[in-house]
Amino acid sequence: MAFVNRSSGELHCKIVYYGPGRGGKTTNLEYVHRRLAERHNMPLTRLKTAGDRTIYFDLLPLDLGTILGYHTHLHLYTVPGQPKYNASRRLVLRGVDGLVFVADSHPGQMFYNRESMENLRRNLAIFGRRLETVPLIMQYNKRDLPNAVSTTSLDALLGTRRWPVHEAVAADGDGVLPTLKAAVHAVVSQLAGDPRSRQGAGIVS
Amino acid sequence: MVQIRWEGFGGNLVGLQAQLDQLQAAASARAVLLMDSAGRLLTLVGDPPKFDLTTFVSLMAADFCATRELARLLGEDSFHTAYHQGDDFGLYLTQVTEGTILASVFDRETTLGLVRFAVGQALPGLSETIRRGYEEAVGKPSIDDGFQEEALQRMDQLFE
Repeated sequence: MAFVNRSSGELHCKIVYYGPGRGGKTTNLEYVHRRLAERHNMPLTRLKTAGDRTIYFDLLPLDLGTILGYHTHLHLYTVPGQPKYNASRRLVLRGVDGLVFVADSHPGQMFYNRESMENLRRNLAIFGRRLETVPLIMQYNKRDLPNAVSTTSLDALLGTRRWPVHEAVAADGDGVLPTLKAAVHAVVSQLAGDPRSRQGAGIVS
Repeated sequence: MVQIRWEGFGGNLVGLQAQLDQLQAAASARAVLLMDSAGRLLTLVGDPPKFDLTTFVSLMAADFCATRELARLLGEDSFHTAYHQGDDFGLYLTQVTEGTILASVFDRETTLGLVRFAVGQALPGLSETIRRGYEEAVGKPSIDDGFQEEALQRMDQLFE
């Protein structure tokens, strides 16, 4: 849920990249960071193991400037994908406004894709939230693999027909920005109570 | 105008900052920051850090929340404070309310004991002000209809 500090005129939205280990979540953020690095001094913070795997989260803050009176901040997070780091994943989900689920198209990762989706559902439930009420964009990553699982099969596996799907090759940057923009669009739509928002309006009165 | 689903602070920021100013002076701290447990800054007094504030606040909140999970594993409800000491700087984190964390950044000009004492003295007043701040905020914020379009335009401009 978006955080509004009316006193200081600030609005914060948190978007979390979720998905199985080595699926490309950090790669997404690294690409966004590279694209911004030339003109914007926005640090990418990585909390990682000696083996270069995410242990807690990666964080990339984006400053959209002042929009209609609100200084608007986006906080892009990843979670560690490895099953053993579930406590970390749960902590990062606190206060989430939108999700990008990065699914791995490699045939050997189907079990982990589904496991991660189920894990996401369970972790949201701990905060009293349902997956269907949080804006979510699905990204099918690694579409360049010669043996990539078909999108139809991924749809069936993850039940993604409910969510907008973007295909990507995050390592090359393909599909990364469209995914992010779709996530921002979904979050802002819900924030503004747009009835076109797929996950339901956020209007309270 | 539409009203938005949200959570947030709408209280007396001037009053809150006055309390934090008092705390900073009493503790001789370099800066005092208030944040929520999702890593979002409520307000800051003292020397603004020279690095990215969003990252700093997010890491402090994550640190404190991880510490709280450790407490739960040990069968404690929570560790109410966390402390980090470097050669030149120290960081003292304290839970103010269920979802709010106070971070005191201090250097060699003061001591952990003084910081801890000053924070302890300030906590009851701060927690009351923050609780009222959240209550006063309920249901009030709204954004203009053009917010969505403008936000997406800014996103496009960011990556031009």
